Parts: sequence; C-alpha cells; structure tokens
Amino acid sequence: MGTRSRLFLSSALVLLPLLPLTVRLARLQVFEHKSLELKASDEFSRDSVEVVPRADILDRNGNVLAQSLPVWIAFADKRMIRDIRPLAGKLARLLNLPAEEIVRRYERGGRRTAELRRDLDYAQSQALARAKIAGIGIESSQRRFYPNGDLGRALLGRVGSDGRGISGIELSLNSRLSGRPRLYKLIRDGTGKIVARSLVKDSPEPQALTLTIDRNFQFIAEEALADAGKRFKATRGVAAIQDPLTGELLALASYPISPLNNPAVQDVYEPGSTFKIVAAAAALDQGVIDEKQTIFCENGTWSIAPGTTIHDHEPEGALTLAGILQHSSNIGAAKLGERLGPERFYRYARAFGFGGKTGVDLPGETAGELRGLPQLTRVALGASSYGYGVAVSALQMVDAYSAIANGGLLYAPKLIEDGEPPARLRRVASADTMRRLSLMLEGVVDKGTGQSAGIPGYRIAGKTGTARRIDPKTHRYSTHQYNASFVGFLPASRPRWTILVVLENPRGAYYGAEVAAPVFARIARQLLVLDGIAPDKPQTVAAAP
Amino acid sequence: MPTRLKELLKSMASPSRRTFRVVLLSLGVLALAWQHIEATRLGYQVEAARHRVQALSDRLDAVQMTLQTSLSPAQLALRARTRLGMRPASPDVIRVLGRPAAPRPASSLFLRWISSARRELLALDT
Repeated sequence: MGTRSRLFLSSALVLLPLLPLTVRLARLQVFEHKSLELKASDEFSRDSVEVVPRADILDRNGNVLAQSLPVWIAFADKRMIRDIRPLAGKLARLLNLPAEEIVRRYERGGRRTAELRRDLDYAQSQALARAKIAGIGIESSQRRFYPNGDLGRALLGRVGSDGRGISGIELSLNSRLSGRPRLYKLIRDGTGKIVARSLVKDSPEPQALTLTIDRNFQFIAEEALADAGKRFKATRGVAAIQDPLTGELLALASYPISPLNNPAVQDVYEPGSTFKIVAAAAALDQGVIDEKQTIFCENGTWSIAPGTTIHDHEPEGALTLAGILQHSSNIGAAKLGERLGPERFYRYARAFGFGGKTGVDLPGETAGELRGLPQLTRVALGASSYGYGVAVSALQMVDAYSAIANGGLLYAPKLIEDGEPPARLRRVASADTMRRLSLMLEGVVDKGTGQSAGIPGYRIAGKTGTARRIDPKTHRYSTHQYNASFVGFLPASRPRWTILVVLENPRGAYYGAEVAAPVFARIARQLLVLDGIAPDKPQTVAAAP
Repeated sequence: MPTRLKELLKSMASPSRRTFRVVLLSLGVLALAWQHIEATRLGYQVEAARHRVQALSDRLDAVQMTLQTSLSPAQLALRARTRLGMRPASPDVIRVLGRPAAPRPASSLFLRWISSARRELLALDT
C-alpha cells in the first residue's frame, strides 16, 4: 500500500465518523433553519399587545365626563391549578379579596380560566407578578370611569366588559372612541426579564371627544327633574336644554337615570297642548288668522263629528289666537286646524321636524308618529291640532320650540363639538310669524296656563301640555294617567335657552302647569344665575336691599 | 498586489506586530462583550424606568380621577349645602353694572311719599 493510499485511508477513518454530524448540521442549518430560528426567537422574544385607552369624553368646557384608565386582570389557569384552596390565602393578600371570594370566583369561572379580579391597579399587578405563582396570569385591560357618577349617563351610555360601547354615545361613536392595540416585540433574558422592547405596530391614541353638553347645566336639569319625579311619583321624565341659535344640546336629562336607555331620543309621547304651536304657526304664516280675529270655542264642548266630542278644560267663548294659546283651548286649536286643512297642517308639522329623525348622534332615535295626509280625516286633523294622535320625541319638541325662538330656522340638534358650523335644516315659517307667535307664547306665561313657569324680571315664552295617556290594559285614553309637560325659551327678548320638561304619569297633580312648569322655572332660574343674565323686564327689577 | 501592501503584510508578520495584532483582536472582543453587557444593563434600567413611569402615571390617573370626582357638580352642591349651608341663588341677585336698578315700589303711602320726595330732590341735584 502506497503512501497515498494510506493517507486516503487514514483520512477516511478520521472523517467518516464526522459525516453524520455534517449531514445533521446541514439539516439543521439549511433545511430546518427557518423553523428553528423562529423557535429560538420565541424562547427569548415575545410579542406583547398594549391596550390603547379609549378616548375621553369631555363636556363643552373640557370637564371629563368619561375616561378610560388601565387596569389589570388576574386570572387562574385551571389546567395548572386544579385546586385553588391552598393558594387562596396568599392570593387574598395580593388581590385584596377574601379567600372565600377567590375560591368562589375560581369555581364560577370558565372551563380553562377563571377571572379572579379585573380591576387591579399597577402596583397590585406588579406585586402579583413578583409573587410568581404558577398558574396565575395577569392581563392588561382598561376600565371606563365616569367621575361625575350618574350625571349624563343616559346620554353617555355604557361600555361592555370587552371595552366596546353598548349604549349611548359610547355605542353610537364606538369606532371614533376606540383605540387600536399597539404591538411590541419584547427581548427577554434567560430568567424571563425584559431586556429590550421595540415598537412593531404603532397606533395613535384617539383624540378626546368634546360634547356640546355643559356639565353644570346637565346637573341642574337632572337635579330638578329628579326632585319633581320623586315628588310626583312620575314613572319617567325628560328635561332638555338647547341653544336655539345653534341647535347645540346643553343638557339632556332623564328620570330615572339608566345608562341603557335614553328616553329623550328613543321614546315617544303624546304631546298634548305643546303641539298647538304647529297649527298656530301655520295659521299665522298662511294668513288664516291674525291677532285680532277670534274663534268661537263653543263654551267648552264641541261635537266635531257624530260620536266625537272635543272638550276644553274650561268653557270658553270667542278667543283670539293668543287666547287659544293662553287658555289652551282644544276646540280653538281644532277649529284652527280645520281652517288650515290637512295639507297645510301636515306640511308645517313636517317642517317643524315632527315625523322624522333629527339625526342626533345617539343610538335608537325614534322618528315619532305623525299621521300622513290620507289618515288626516276631520277628526284626526282636529285631534292632531291639539297634540293627540301624534307621537313625538322630547328632542323633536325642543328643536321645534327653538325654531320659534330663533325666528323660524330649524337646526339639527348638535351633540358633538366638532368645530363645524350649526347645521341649518330649513326655514319653518317667516321671522315675522315666529315673532308674533313668540309674543303669544309670552302671554301664556304672563297671563295664561304657564304662569308657574314665570320668573320675575324676565320675559319667558312657553306652552304647557297635559295629555291623557293610553291605558295599556284597555287601549283607551286613561282618565287618571297623564303626561305633563312644559316647553319654552328665555329670555324671550334674546333667547339663549330652550327648555323642555316632560313628566310621565305624575301622581297628586297632573297638569303641565302644576307639574312641569315649576321644574322649567327652577332650571331657568339657575341658568340665569349661572350665566349672569340680566333681567329683560327692567320695570319689574327689585331694588337692592 | 501593490508593493506597499506587500510590505505592510510583511511587517505585520514580524513577532512584535503579531502580538500587537492579538492584543488588538482581544480588545475588540472585549469591547464587543462590554457593549453587549452594557446594552443588557441599560435594557434593564430602561425597563425599570418604564415600570416607574407606569406606576407614577397610574397614580396620576387615580389622583386626577379623584379630583374630577370631587369637582363634579353633584359633589360640590352636596358639600356647599351640607358643610357651608349655601342655597341656590335667585335671579333677583343679578345686577346690571353701569345701569341703576329701578327702585322697588314703596308699600305704604308714607314710604311712597318719602320715595317721591327723594326722587324730586335727586332731580334738583342734577
């Protein structure tokens, strides 16, 4: 055997055992490179998702109405912890919960995991993480806080446990308010401690949402409404304040307060006499009647059709239009509707915004119910003229009165302060018509049924409403269930606020003048003081003591 | 290969140059190791600082929330009424600055006479 052969053989003997290693190395390095690299990467790096907080909701002055704060959820992995009792004592100290409660929550939890506490603050979450209890995990989340308690909750709504809005503005503007998650890559050492963190996918925090609501106005409205609601044992109530010059909603209160329901936009009611403004405005605008002409009100009882009689609450003879409004004569309003005819009446009712949605940024808005032209028979037209047989939302009604206050322009109710100019929808009637109607509505407060809404020194225009409710058992008008309401604006010389108050089914008293008008006056009085509005009836101002 | 490069490589091949090369290489390795250790140490520091920021931000949020709650109209009204005995003001308290308020009509005949006499005197003054 030559030297060359020996050299080859010895080389082969040395290198041959290395061949499997080479093959293995090639397999690891070439064929399984990607998957193994990923596996190794997973050992030291991990993706982390950070919850971007939901946007704050602010009132028009920048006060916080809703805010999201980060919280941490502690949960138990049931595959790793079969029995939580031995750990309950330790967890009780860390989670600040009784041990029995922890056991109860564990048992009540799902098949794989059980949520032990979902509102841990940062310090508590860190203490739990440092305790390194196998099978106990922590997850970041967020919690919605409403620092003003129940204030405006029907308007703001509610956020579900998954962080999505389920009612109110939280629902209607959910996509605007929600933050998208941020993705981080974490590099960890052998003990699991984070060494470095890099942002993989950024997501900007959503901008705070500013409402047109004034927190103080909202409180004033809610407090006055709740007091009246309790005093008269009303089943429900609504109070709304609107700026008639812009359509901005300054307060939207409901009683009782529920974050799941907003009766001001979702519910309808039969308005009764507050609806008489439609016939009155249409009649004035169309020249059907003027300030001096009178209508005979049949001394309180009028048979409009065989079997259908209209009554006034007090017998009245001949009344001018101002008189019809001041005495709230149903017969006068029905006769006015008859003179107008169904077409003109319907046109003006629609122009005031009744029978259609206002388009406010709140979920579940109702369009109300307004009889169409074919259904407006003589009886139906008469009833509609004094606010029966129609169903309106509180928002539609306050918006309609704002149109009178501002000289005839109907604005879309505005709830979001977005820097956009007020959305003018249409002109309802001429400015002169609305000025004349406004003076007549002042007469209602000065000399008519709405005197309890008056405030010495101020010109106030408004209208009372008392409407029988349909008895759900008999499906007929009840003789003991009513809706009491008052809608008006002030100061009438230069209107700043339109205020509506509706109380459903009050007990003890039921007239709008007795139940709703004093609530209007209470709200108005506080607004005047809050904004320092000078009296516009100088002759009645009392001298300083 | 250029002559100068050849001379450089030749000079580096000398024992003293070789030692220098090893030292340089070792220093490079040490620098890399130091950099790695320092990066890890700083990483821990950054993470600890982030935790502190998070904890402080958490406390700040809680304090702000307490402040907002304390300033809520319901809380303020409650404290004003119960602790300070305040009552809602009436619009009668509003005075227009720069415009004298009209006098209250006098209740009795004597007061009315005094009031008209005062007005006449004031008129004489002007």
